[in-house]
Amino acid sequence: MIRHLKILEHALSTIVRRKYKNFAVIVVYSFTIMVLASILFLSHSLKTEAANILSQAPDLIVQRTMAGRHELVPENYVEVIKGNRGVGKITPRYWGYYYDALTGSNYTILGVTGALPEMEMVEGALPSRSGECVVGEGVARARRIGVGDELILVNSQGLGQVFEVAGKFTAASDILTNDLIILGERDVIDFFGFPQGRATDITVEIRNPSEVQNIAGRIKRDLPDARPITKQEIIRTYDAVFNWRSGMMLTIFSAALVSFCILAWDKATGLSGEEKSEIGILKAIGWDTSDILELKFWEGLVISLTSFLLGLIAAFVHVFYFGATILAPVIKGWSVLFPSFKLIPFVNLYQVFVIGFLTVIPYIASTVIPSWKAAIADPESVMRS
Amino acid sequence: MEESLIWTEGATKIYNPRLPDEMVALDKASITIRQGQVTVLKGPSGSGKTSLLSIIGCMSRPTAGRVVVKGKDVAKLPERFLTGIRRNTFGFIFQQFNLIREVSVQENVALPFYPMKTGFTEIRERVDRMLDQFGILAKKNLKVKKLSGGEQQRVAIARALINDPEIIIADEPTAHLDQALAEDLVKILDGFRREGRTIVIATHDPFIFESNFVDRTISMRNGQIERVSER
Amino acid sequence: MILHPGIMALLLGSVIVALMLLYASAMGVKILLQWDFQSSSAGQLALERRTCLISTLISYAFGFVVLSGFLYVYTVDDIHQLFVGAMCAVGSLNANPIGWYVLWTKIGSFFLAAVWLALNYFDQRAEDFPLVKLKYIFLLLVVPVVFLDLYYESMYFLGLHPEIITSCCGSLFADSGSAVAGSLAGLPVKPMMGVFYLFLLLHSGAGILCLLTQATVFRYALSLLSLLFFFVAMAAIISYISLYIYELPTHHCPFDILQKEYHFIGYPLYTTLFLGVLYGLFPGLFQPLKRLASLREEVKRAERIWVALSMLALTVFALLSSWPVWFGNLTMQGYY
Ligand SMILES: Nc1ncnc2c1ncn2[C@@H]1O[C@H](COP(=O)(O)OP(=O)(O)O)[C@@H](O)[C@H]1O
Ligand SMILES: [Mg+2]
Repeated sequence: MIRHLKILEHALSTIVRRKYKNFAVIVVYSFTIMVLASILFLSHSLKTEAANILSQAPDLIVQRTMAGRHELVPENYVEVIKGNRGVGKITPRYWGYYYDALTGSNYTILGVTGALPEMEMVEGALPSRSGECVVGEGVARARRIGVGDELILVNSQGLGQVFEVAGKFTAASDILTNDLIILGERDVIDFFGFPQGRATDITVEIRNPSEVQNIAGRIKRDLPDARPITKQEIIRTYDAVFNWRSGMMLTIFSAALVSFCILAWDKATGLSGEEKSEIGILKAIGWDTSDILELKFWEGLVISLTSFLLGLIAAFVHVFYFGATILAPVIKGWSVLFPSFKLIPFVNLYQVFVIGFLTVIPYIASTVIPSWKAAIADPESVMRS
Repeated sequence: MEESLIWTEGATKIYNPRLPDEMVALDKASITIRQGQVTVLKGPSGSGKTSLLSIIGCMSRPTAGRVVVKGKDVAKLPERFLTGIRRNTFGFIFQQFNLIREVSVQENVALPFYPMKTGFTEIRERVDRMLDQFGILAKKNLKVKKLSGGEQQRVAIARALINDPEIIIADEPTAHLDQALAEDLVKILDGFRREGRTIVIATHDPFIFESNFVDRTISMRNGQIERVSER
Repeated sequence: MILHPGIMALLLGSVIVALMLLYASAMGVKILLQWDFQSSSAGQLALERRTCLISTLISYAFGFVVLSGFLYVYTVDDIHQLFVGAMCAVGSLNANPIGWYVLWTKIGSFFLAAVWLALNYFDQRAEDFPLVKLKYIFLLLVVPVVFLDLYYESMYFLGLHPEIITSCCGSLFADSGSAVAGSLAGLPVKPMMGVFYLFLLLHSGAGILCLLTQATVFRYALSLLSLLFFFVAMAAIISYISLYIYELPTHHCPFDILQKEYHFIGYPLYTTLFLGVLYGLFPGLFQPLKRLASLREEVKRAERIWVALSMLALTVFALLSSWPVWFGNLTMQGYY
């Protein structure tokens, strides 16, 4: 035990002694780790957030497809679905997308009847009468409007329609409400010109979660053109998309990792004359090859862990204090309007473990052979220098 | 009491065997080193002194022949066992001081102990005692590069002595020293002899091999033993 | 193929380690062909120095195998949301049953690499390299398992297809997957408990006999019992220990116990089990080494430590796994 401590002590003293060289390695190494950890922290945080939001989503959404395309759902499907046992509240929803030529962005317009219990708002109220609306933070920002102002949208007949902004969603951590405009249900139907008796889709509450699959199956059987989508499936898609995006980023990023390994290799192979003679001296005064290997192992471990911690802290600050300024556009990507939401720090041990795996293993692997080459120096060479 | 602590039989060292630049550095050398004696290997540069020293000091293995150290044949021992013997039996004084210049005196002297099981406090005590003995205790926290040549030499000797070796091996110890320091060194070596340690010195410096603390002189030429003379 | 960070980390690590071991085994072959202990040539010295590199590479590989085992379980657990009907790691494994093979190859590489390191330890203790040939022939057996692991792992992850709603309406009704572990989970609790404690008792008995006597037969018995106990313990974890830990009469997952909700109890549980089994296997496995004069005393000395460690580890394992059964809140009336 003491033996290892002493070798560790010498490793530390060696690292401190060559501070400039090791400092350079640590800077590059921790930068690599920072980028990688930022990707993972960001995608994990988005994923968790999406899952949180989706946990309030309906258990089952029934859409209708026609000729392979999304089609409006007849409201009388509600009656058919009601026939299934275990089904709770069934609600047709009226919503759609709106392209705003003024700002060049897409909004989502959703109709509501009663209250939306789970949604947080900063100010104002939900539309209580026709002609009122609630806007998401992104919309408010793009149109430079606030509560009490007017929002003008062009309806399906090409006529401008004025809505009074009754409320505004908070910016805090909400991807879904960012580009959202909420109107009264009647207003939405008129605005988009929905045909009589048609809704965008139908949400279904299901009392027993384990029944979701079965009920979806029965709906599909009763209504062959219906497309039931379970909440699980949406969460899955989100997960896959986020994983895919961070995976893509990681792939691109591997190039950086490779160049870092080359650097590490170079650092370890390109031993300076001074280092070589030092190892020769150590061997001559009674250090064994395995002791030198251990010395090199400690050196590598100390450098790795230092860089690892620095990189993690830097990534944490970058993602959760500066909103991942560098990476956000790539990962969040698909949305034209960027939610300027604050990321809530979600970090778990698993991510840290993965980051360690992705960075420390290549580093160790690229230093093991050079370390060994240094360690087998002939002790006799010292006598002839 | 005189008995052979180390002996070799037909020890041969060939560098780059079967290659164009093959070099027979040591050619069937058979010698005996007796306990408690000062033995000098004498000969011109390139005569194989260092090669022989490194073989009897367990620094390298001979290409052929036997080498017996304290009754154990070390000619075929794996390197880590050679290292073990070296740690416990030998102290080396090299031609260069071979100190780590950027590191403190204290750490330099303690380094041989690092891969061993000795505890921190014991190491510190021994290092202090050793530095005190050589009058450099006051400088123990200085970096070696700040010391004078004579002080550096003392640090190197203190390091060689730190594991209390039975056998001290010195290769051209006076090559880089002026007259005063060389005299100093001979005094120190003479002191070791009185403590009962066995000393083997390779040198072509008459100041050493003519001084009267030498018990045996082994002359070498072209990798072979030419003559052994005993006082 | 899912571009999941954990999957990428695992595959990257496995590829690196496989390459490291490939290099090591190439060196091993060279050593097998050219080793000549009697020679003092520079070539022989170079080979001796290579053995040092190989043991370093394999030590690192061993460390990786241990860590990758955990990472694999975590990852498989993390991706379960991607599969319809998967509630935990078991579901993800069933999504592509090759995943179960990966677990076995990982456990296999763990034990094989550990045995190799033990062989290496003894080889380095003796002055005449008594085990060089054996060591490198054995290495040639370890490496294929590691490659098989890499192969299965790649096949498993490549074969996983997350169902994305935009393209897979039909797969919505895919099977929820039947539990492979179903037969184990179905084992009756009382008899399983009996078998578990019986084997524990037998193991301790053999261990004590090993410590008291020199008879070879007890050492082989201990190893055999350790091997059997590994399977018995796995079956016990799935069939009833997990139930008591989860305090749910139907939750048999052997992976969830690694999670925070259950106080990470899985870590000490599996660590003690694997160590206990490993140290229990060693005495029997290394009996033949006692025939080598230069190693006999070494093996005898190490053996006592192994037996003691094995008994200690399995005792801790037994206590940890009995705790929830005796003091937990779950009562299993009606499930016996
Ligand atoms: N590594 C080596 N490779 C080739 N030749 C060497 C090597 N080391 C020493 N020699 C040669 O071996 C001969 C003996 O060297 P050495 O033992 O150092 O003699 P001395 O110490 O008496 O000067 C010299 O000619 C030297 O050039
Ligand atoms: Mg010389």
